[in-house]
Formats: sequence, C-alpha cells, structure tokens
Amino acid sequence: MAEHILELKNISKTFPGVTALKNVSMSVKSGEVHALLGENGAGKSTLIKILSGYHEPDKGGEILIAGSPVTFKSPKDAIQASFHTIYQELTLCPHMTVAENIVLDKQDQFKGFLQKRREYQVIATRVLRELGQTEIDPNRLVKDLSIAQQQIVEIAKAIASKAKIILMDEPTSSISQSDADRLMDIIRGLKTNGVAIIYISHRLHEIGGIADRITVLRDGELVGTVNNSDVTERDLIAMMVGRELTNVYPKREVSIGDVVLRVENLASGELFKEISFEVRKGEIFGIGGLVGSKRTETLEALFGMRPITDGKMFLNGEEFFPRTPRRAIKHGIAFVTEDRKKSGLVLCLPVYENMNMVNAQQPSFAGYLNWAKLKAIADDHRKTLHIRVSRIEQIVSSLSGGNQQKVVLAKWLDFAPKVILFDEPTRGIDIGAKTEIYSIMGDLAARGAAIVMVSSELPELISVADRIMVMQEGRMKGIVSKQEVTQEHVMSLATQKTR
Amino acid sequence: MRAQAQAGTNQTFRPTIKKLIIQYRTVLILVALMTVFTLLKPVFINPANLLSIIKNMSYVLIAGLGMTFIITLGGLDLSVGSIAAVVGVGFAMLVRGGLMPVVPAVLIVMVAAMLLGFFNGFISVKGKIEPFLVTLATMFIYRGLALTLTAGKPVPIVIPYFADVFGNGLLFNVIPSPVIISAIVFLVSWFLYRQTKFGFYVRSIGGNSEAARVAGIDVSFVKIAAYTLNGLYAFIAGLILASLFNSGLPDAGGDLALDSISGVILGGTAIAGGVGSIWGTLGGCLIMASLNNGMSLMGAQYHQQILVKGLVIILAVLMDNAFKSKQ
Repeated sequence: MAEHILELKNISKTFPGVTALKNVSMSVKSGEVHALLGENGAGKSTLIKILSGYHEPDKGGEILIAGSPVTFKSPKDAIQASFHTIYQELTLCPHMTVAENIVLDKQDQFKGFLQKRREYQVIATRVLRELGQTEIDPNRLVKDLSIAQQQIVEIAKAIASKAKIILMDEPTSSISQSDADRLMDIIRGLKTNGVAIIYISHRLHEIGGIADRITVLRDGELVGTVNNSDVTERDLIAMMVGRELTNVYPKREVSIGDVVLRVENLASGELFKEISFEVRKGEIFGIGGLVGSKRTETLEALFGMRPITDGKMFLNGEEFFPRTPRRAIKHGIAFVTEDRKKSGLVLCLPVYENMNMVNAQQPSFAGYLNWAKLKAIADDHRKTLHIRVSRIEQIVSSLSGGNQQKVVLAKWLDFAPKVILFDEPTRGIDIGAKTEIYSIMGDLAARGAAIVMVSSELPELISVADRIMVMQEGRMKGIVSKQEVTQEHVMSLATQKTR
Repeated sequence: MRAQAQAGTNQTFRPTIKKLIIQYRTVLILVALMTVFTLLKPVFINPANLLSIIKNMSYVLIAGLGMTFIITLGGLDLSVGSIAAVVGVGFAMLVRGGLMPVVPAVLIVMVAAMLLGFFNGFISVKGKIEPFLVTLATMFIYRGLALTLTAGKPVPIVIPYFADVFGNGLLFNVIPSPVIISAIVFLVSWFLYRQTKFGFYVRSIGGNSEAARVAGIDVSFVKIAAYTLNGLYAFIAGLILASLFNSGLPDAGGDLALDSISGVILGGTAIAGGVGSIWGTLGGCLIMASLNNGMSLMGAQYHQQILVKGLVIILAVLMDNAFKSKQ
C-alpha cells in the first residue's frame, strides 16, 4: 500500500493560447486535509477539472491513485476511481429526495427495472448516520434543504460511493459560520476514517484551522507544498503573490484632470453597500478583491445593469442614475465585460458587425445602415488595434481570445466614452495581447477617458492602476494609492477576517 | 494564438467544396428536386407550372419572411395562421353589404393584425414567457376569435376587383398578382434584414441578447416590434388567402405557421437564433412548394405529400448538423 493515496506527476494543461498548468506535481496522503491555495487564475480550477475528469492533462503527466496510474476520460471514471468532487455550485437534483440523490450515481449496483426505494433509504440513513447528520430526513426533497444541508448530502453521496478522496471547492463560500464549523467537524470525522480531503478556499484563517498540508499554485505553476504548522498566513500570502513584475505592463505618464465619475455610498440590495470613490480624467482606477467580492456587480450597477438601491452617482458633477445600459451609453459610459462569450460578443456574427454594434445605433434615415462605411470604420479598428484577422467579414468566434477582446474594445471606441469600465480586461489571453490591451487602455486614458478596471491579477492591478480600491464580500476595504501599494497589502485587505 | 489566427486565414482563403455545399445547400436541394421532377414529369418545368408553384406558395413565403425575423430573434410565432384567418373574416365582415369601403376596411384589419402581433410580443417580453407558449395560446385565442365572429361559417366577399388585386389577377396577363406581392414583400424583407438597424438588432439579439443589451440595444422594444411586424406579414398572407377563396374563412391558414416555419428551417435559419437568411427562406419555401406541386403532378395526394414533406425536413436538418459538426 502506497503512502500516498493520490499523486500527481508533472501535470500540464495547455489551452489554445494559454498554458493553464505547467508541470504541477503534488501528493495527498490518506486521512489528510490538503489545502490547495492560489489567486484567481492560478490554475486551481483547471486542476479540479483534471482531477474530476472534465479535462485530460497534456501528455507526459501522470495521475496515480494508491500507487497505480489512472486516466480519467470522463467524470464517471473519476468517481469509479473513488475520487469525488464537491463543487461550489452544488450538483444535486433539487426535485428528488435526499435518498434518491445519494444513490443517483450508483444505479449500477441495483438490479432490475424498478426503483428500490427501501434500499435507497437504507443506504441514505446509514451514511447520514455515519456523518452524524441524523436530522436530515432521507425522504425530504433536496430543494427544501438549506445550502449547508445540501452540501452534507453531497458529502453523503461521496461516502456512499466509498470515496477515498474528496475534493471540496470553496465549500464555505455560501454558508454561515455555524454551518462552516459543523462542516469542519465533519471533515475531521472523515479524516479519522482515512478519507483524504483536498480543500480549496480563499479563506486563509479557515485553511489554517483545518489543513495538514498546503500546496500553493501561482500562474499555473507549483510554488510549493508546506506543512500547515510551519507557516503563517503572511508566509502563505507571500507564496501566493510572490511574483516579479516584468515590463509587460507599459507605464505611461498621463496628466490627471478633473473628477469625471463620483460614487457616494453606492449600494445594490444586499449585494454590495457603502461603496464610495471618484475617478478623474486620465486616471485608471483599479478594483481588486477575491472571487465573490462583488466587483463585477458594482461595475454592472454603474452601467445600469443592476438597480442602485442606495447612494448617489455623479458624472462630471451632475447626479446621474444609469437605469439601463442604453442610458449609461448615452451618457458616455462604456463597459468591456468580463465574459466575452456571454456578454461581449455575438459570436455568430462577423467581426465588422460586432465592432459596429454600438456605432450602428446612431440616427440614420429610415434606419438604413451604410455597411460600406461601417466596414471601413471596422477596418480602421483592425489596423490600429492590430487585430490579426484575414478579413473583417470573418465570424468572430474563429478568433483567438486576445483578438476577440480587441473586437469587444473596438465596439466602444467610436463614441469617445467619458468613462470606460473594464472587467478583467485580460482574462484568458496571452502575454503579447495583454501588453497590447494595456497600451490601448493607456491611450484611452491619455485621450481623457476615466477608466475603472476590475482585475484579479495583482501584478496587473498594481502596475496598470493609479489607485486601487479593494473589496471584500460587497464592502469596500480601503483605497490604496500607487505609491503605497504592494501585492501583499492588497491581498491582506482582500483576505482579512471579517467575521 | 498565432496558430489559430493562421488557421482562420486558411479557412477563409481556401473555401473548400464542402463549405460551398454548406452555403448553397438549399439551392442544391432545390435544383436536385426540380431535376428529378422534370425527368419524371417534363410538364413540371413549364413556365406556367413554375408560376403556379410560386403563386400557390405566395402566402406561405410571406409568412415565412416574417417568421425569418422571429426565428432569427430566437423566437417562434405559432399564431400567424390564426391572425391570417382573423384578417380574412374581419375584412369580409367589414365590407359585407357595402358596410364600409374597401380601403378603410383593409387599413382597419391591418392595424388589427399588427395589434394581435404586438400582443404576442408584449406578453412574451413583459410577462417573460417563452414565445412558443404565448403564441401557442394566442393561436387558439385568435382562431377562436375568427370562429366566434363568423359563427364558424365562411363570409363571402363580393367585390370582384379585390380578388383580382390580391388573388387571381394577372399582371400583363401572365404574372399572378400574389407573385407580384410576394416579390415586393421579399425585396422589402431582404432590405430590412440586411440593410437596416432593425435587421441588425434582430440578428444581434438572436445571436446573444446579453451582448446586445450591453451594447445599448433596446432588446424588449426590438422583440415587440418584430412580433408586431410579423402581424403585418400575417395580414398580407391573410388578404391573399381571402382573395384566393373570395371569402373570409374562419379556418383559413391552419397550416400556415408550421408550413412557414418549415420553409424558414429548410432555408438554413437556425432555430437557436442569430443566423438566418431571407434568400434561404425563399429557397426553403420553393423546396416545399415544388415538392407539393411535383407530387401532385405525379398523382400523389395531400396525404402522401405531407408524409414526404416531414421526411425532407428531417433530412435537411440532419444534413445541416452533419456538415456543422464536421466543420
């Protein structure tokens, strides 16, 4: 019997244009809680997807379970190799009972055509008792349970499959403190039964309390594995961010002008509250924070995609409420959204049509569109933004991420926006294209736009932004200026304990 | 990234035969079908027969052109046949016994048809209900309206020139008036779809309504406008139907919605929205009409015709998917 229940050897994963994981090796012992730590984009999600069978690693990498190599071609393979993943977004069937959910992935065990309700119930009762969770009735519908209880059902499902390794992705992100404490007890119980837990969380204090060993990833590479008892939170933060700033971030001297956008005590329901900041002409204002800090939601509210329930917003000194994106655009606000495929581009349309989506809304006689003129405009953008595409008639989905991002940008350039909101402007694009995007942002600022940029990449945030606001769970944690900022400073504001 | 851009370049500069086949598949199916029918029944290719094919499909084509906007938008409208019936009986009742001159009667039913279309769009957008469900319901409601108004009986139209203008009249003694009307509607539709903001918005919203919204397009307004416009298309189709039968039939246009949707799908417009073609809809409707006509010439009944029609739709969509997955 090998000492390590799970071993990863030289796991790499390359997607077109991006290397998500580079030669990552780690090992997990039976009965250990192994925390996986890293910033957004460090490669954790890719690793999870490889371990749970959604992605296959590149050639050369090896996954060993109890000493023997395995290949996961589908999520089913992973489950059969006694590897179970509990995702952040739970994957139970809400309209089925607890017992039915627990046996759902084990239908091979049951013979015959008919459902074996009694057997299901016996199994469910047994595993729930094992977990010490007898108050969950196996006959209840999952949708009637709390999120924390649903999570326990997920764990029960894993236990019933005799899982030896359970991966938990941000399990405490949407449950209360007392539920989280109960979860920690369950995890300790699983440990004593020899189950290995891979625990992913952004919450350093939580990891400090539960983990035996911690593996830190950064930019898809392994930083190291350390014993929890040997390190402090400070050490972990340093491992997560300790990255050299290179000259991929071209600096630019821009004279900062008057305040263009001012926000006072902005709130949108319970999502975020008491957000106040101002952005000046020519300034790049960064917003940092972890996943779930409601940065995107804040930008969406500024662009009229979410209701503003409290507070004020001023554009060039005049009070303004965006209400709809259409109104926001009319008042000179542009929004380069995070998810190109979801809200940035119409993938089935050609490059030039995507570029003219805002431009085409200018008044014209009887709604006539002069495509020859619009194509010429698009072609200018192609040249100035160095978009690598053979013809602007090409369908936009066939472009690489970086070029797609430039198309999204091009859409906003013709109406000279006063305020440009950027949400993760360089997510999923390669270094070369990133540099180009930064220099375009610099140009826009130099031409007098006020820029607000949300980014999860600390080096990017620190070197591109003039000032940075850090958010945590919908609250403002502070604004730091370029002079006083360090990655560690931002990270500790973003992770400090609030409860 | 470079490699990908490069691949894109090759794809566009060397259009393979397969790509051409995909692009012109509607034309290819049509030509194949016409060739087969001509070989089996040479009379098929006579200009007179071809004109009658176009005449007989005119109202389906018109409904199909409107439906192209709706399906490109990612929607569906099952109620067009019922709207067409309301138009027919409404007009017939307004002009019965000289109650009202023709022109105001036409205008009134036109506005009524657009209101019915507006209702579809308004309920679907504001009530956040799938257009399939809304128009399934209004298909019954509007049909019920037509039947209730007439107590289920046809209402004759006794205005001779009405039938000439919209139904059985001939221009230069050759071209049937429905052919002229559908040609005009076709050209206007093409212009609207390709050359105007409205068409661009429809294609953008169908392709990705969230991106359209972020770009400042008023998604709700465009959707409601498209359903209202579809009411106008149903109005034209309804007038042609009424004048072909010289009466307002409460059960007219029973197949209109499904026939026009079939034509649109055969024409390569994606049911998921975003990608569509006005020319394709013309091709798709021609395929269906040729099939009907050719099979009638060979002595097949309506029964066998719809059987084959269904098979052709499945084949066309299978072909589509096969090509797409190979791309």
